[in-house]
Amino acid sequence: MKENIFSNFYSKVLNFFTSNKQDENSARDNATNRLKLVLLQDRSNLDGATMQKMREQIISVISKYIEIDTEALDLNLEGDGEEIALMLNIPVIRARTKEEIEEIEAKELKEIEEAKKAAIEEALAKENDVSSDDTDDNETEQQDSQEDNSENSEENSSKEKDEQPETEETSNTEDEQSSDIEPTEENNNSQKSEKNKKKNKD
Amino acid sequence: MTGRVIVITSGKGGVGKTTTSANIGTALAKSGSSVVLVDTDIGLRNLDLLLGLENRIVYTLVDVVEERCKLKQALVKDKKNPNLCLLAAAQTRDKSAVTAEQLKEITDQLKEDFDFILVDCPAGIEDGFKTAIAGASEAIVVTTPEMSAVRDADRIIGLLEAKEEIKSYKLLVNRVRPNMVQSNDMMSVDDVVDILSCELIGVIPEDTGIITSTNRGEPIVNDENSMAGKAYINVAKRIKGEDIPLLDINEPKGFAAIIAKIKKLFGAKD
Repeated sequence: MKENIFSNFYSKVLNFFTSNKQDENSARDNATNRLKLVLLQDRSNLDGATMQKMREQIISVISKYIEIDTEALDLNLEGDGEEIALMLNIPVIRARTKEEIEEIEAKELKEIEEAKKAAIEEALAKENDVSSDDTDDNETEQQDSQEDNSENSEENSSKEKDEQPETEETSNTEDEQSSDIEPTEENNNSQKSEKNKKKNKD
Repeated sequence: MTGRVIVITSGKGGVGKTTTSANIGTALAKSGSSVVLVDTDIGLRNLDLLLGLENRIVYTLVDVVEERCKLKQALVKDKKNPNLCLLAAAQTRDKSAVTAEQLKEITDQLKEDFDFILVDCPAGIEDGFKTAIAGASEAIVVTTPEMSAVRDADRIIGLLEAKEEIKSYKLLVNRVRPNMVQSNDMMSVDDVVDILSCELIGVIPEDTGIITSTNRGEPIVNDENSMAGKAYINVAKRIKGEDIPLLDINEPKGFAAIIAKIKKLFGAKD
């Protein structure tokens, strides 16, 4: 108890002489910085789930080529005034070798093919379930499902191609209220620039 | 006569919307304009208390809407100032009792007889808010230098921007504690204005006099010695188009500041 009283008094005396100095960790700066961040998020209409989805996709693409510390990956909206940027900070553990990249790509291809097979099997199973009364309908369905599969395989060949447009679409529709439609393009650019930076460092 | 309809809103509750309405209304009336205060916080009315008119209310906004009385019958004249009237909210009903169209009709009618129609908005962004802003062409967004209040004000500004009928909206920063700003423990008015990028119409310092004035049922603008009262009078002047510089609410410097710090050192609060 006594120590507490003395240390309190000491800090008060210290404050008495130093309180006019700009303190970087002051409650005031804390509040302004946190508020700016939270308002960027509020105004952009990007919700936590969307950010998380984006984060996962970015990780999956980048970790194909570079081994990264996914825990420490930092994805944040930043901005001063009217410009908003998406800042991506990725701690790199090491670059992958060519062999590793090839291995990963081969694995991906395998997975895609397996998914394809599974989809076809599923479609076949469905077909069998449907009674053979309407044979005409079944034929058209079969054609449709095959077409779908071929489309899927094309799109799945690289994950980002398949799913990025989706996220852009959703964010655009959500952004209609506010005037922050442009930043999505900016965001992509800043992402790229960040990635480039990281690569250069390596 | 075509009066100006100004809605006083904030998003967050407890930042001083009603206090601001009562004081700006009283200050405008004291300067010679005719003013009507419309309380749209149905079910949670308090504007009558702040003006000390709680015992004089016979008819309310809901009675007017439901045609139990004429609009003029429901207007309660202020005790001191004949230029000031109150249209009280009903206490026993809820926000759904008045629609946006009905309120707009009432403010349009009031425009013909008054210079200023100040609409005290309920907290929140739901129907009560949408009703309150229905007839307004101007807005005053009240906030305090606290994170939650600023965040909510940002949301309100977004909603006001989306409404075409609102031609202008301005920011009023309430409950500023200059000594806390000086010691970097609180956001300054500039910080808030910077974050919200909204034009400022006034800064009101934290003032314990607000509590006593509420207890007496007399707006603080009637107390000429109070800082908050002076600040509100300045806001009223700015609303009327006068170019008044911001009140210096900073703590005294030099010897007086040292005394204040020594007091603080020994645990005295503010």
